[in-house]
Amino acid sequence: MRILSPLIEYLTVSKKMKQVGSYEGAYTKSVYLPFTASALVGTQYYLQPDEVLDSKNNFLTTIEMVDSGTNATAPTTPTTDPLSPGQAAQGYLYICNTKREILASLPLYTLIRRLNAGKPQYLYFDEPVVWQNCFIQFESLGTAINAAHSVWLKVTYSPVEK
Amino acid sequence: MNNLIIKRSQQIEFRLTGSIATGKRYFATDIPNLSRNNVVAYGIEFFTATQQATTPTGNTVVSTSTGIAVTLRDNKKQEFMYQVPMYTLIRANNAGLIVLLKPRIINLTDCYVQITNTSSLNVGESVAANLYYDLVD
Repeated sequence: MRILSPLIEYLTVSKKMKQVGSYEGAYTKSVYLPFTASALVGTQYYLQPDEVLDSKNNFLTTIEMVDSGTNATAPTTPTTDPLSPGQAAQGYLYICNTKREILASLPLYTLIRRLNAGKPQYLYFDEPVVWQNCFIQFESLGTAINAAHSVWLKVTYSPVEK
Repeated sequence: MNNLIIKRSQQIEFRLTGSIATGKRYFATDIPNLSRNNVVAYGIEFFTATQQATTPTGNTVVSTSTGIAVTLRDNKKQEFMYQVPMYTLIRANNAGLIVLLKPRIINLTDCYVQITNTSSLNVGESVAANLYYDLVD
């Protein structure tokens, strides 16, 4: 017999909480946001359209930012440097729905998995996410970000049952 | 061991305005779409400048958390989380775990931080946090 507190039961069933080390998602994908020039404060850098990551096809289950301490070089063409934690602390990732309403604002630094003792950031959005409506914005740039850098996001997702 | 799943999140902040003094309370700034008693908070995470240099509203984030206590109030004015050290609400200090709350409707502008030590805190800086919530059905 397994005894479960009602609160833990509620948080688990309503998708507000999940056991660490549990299933993260059926598939994993890396996406990159290279900069064509020096990044600017307050500019919205939209992610490239990606139907795989739209909620109508797959739902996002975790997200992680790969920093320069995790992987020194991003496999973009040409290659770029992933952001350092100091650079990441200046920006946010905004997850948006079909109406461009912001569902979540996530400081990039907090998405670096190695700095969270290896724990991923779990996601569960009730509303449909459109990947190309999601964007990154920097609120300060004391540590410059330029064309030599890119934001590297590692996303896990699972297919939507149709 | 369980960790939080993000369903919806929004940045909130407590601006250190006026003067910095021990014991003084600084209330959360109003956010229209969170201020209608329409959100059920189920998690909260605080940041210092290490995690987040500047808030989305352009304010510098405090560089230290060890002189700040956090109080959250629900829509019945009950201080259900009273004077919790901000340090313990930072994810990196908890092996990557985000603090979960028993879900309840909060009154954001009734929530406040209190200064317990003024060292390294400056007027105009903000105590920043991410509120994890669900909409009231």
